[in-house]
Amino acid sequence: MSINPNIFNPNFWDTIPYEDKTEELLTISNSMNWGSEQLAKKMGISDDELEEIITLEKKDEVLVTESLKRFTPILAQQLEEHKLNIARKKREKTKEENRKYAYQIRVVKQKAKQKHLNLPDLLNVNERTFQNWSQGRSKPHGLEAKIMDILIRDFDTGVKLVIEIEETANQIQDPPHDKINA
Amino acid sequence: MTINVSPALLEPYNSYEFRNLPKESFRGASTEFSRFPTGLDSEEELEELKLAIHESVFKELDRIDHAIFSDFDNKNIQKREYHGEITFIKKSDLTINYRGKIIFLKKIRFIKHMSRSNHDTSIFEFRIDLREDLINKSIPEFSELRNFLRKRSVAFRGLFLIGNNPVPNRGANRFITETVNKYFLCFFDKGITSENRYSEAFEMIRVHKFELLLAVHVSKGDELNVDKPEYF
Repeated sequence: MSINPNIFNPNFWDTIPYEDKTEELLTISNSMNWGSEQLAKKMGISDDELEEIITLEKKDEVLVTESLKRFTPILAQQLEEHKLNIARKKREKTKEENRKYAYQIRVVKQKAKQKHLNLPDLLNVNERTFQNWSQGRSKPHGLEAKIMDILIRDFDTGVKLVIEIEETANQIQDPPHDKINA
Repeated sequence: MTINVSPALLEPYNSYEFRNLPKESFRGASTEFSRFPTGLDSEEELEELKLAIHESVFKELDRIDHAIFSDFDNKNIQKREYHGEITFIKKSDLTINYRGKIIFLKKIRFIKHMSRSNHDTSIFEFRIDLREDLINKSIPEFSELRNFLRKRSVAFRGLFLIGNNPVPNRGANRFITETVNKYFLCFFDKGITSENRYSEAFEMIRVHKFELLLAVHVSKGDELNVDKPEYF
């Protein structure tokens, strides 16, 4: 929480020194991008009167305190909306990245098909899992993700790597007869 | 010497500076807050003014919620620069406590967030300009300052990066309780230096990016934000 929750207590501003309150008025105004003219208008005073209040040449405890009580919920709401906006942008960014990634996986699958290779078999994942990856419903993880990144960036190197892994795994599972007999 | 992060430049604000930046990084700008403006001025008047202005700057920077820093384009002014890049400018009203009185600066172009097409980072800059005409004539305590500014105006600038992590606002702020750390690369007075400070700053980050990241991580446990946001 970046907003002091105490500000919503009606008596909170009564305990704050006047000088601090005038500064907080500017904090609110600046955070709202109001500018002094708009702030003065919202407080129902002239620009000159606002200047006198901000520079402490004139004191109006009631007006400043009442203004703070009125403005703080507005800024709190704006900041909350700002944060929701950031979260929404992040979600959209992630969604877009996932969409692009799924498309790249489909391209890789197509390239493999042209070379008569079955990627799900080579990666040792079932068709359904691979389909989920290529439709953005899930993503490969760990070594599978690394291999997929290589396939996306450099398909030939990636395929070579996958085949080598497959062959090495087969050799370990079925060692040649001469090695067994040695 | 390893790059590290200083203690707070002024207590209790969340502004720091990088230390041990390579000396050749900036011509005309100082990497040290305590030594700027460089070489030209020893007037006590300026030193007092410098502290008063920066106290106000660091305080105002802390009054900006971390959410606003993390999505800076929102509602701030978009400007296309002469070199083709877009910057975002946050206007603010600012007060400076000077000799027991308050200077009220209205609608100043306080923060600029800028990028370059050939760099993958972005930099913030604070901007404070003081001219004689901005100082209230009716306040006798400002007469010396007005005389000083008649001879030379002041255009203080500071280039900084921010941390990604929300941090508690250490100043006496009643409303905004979390901000971000500000890590300064350099300070200068634009009225004095005409060197190419912005290009130097972008280049310095490009070359020393990982040292800067590490310095912030080690010194403050924070994550330095060096990436150019998508809105650029």
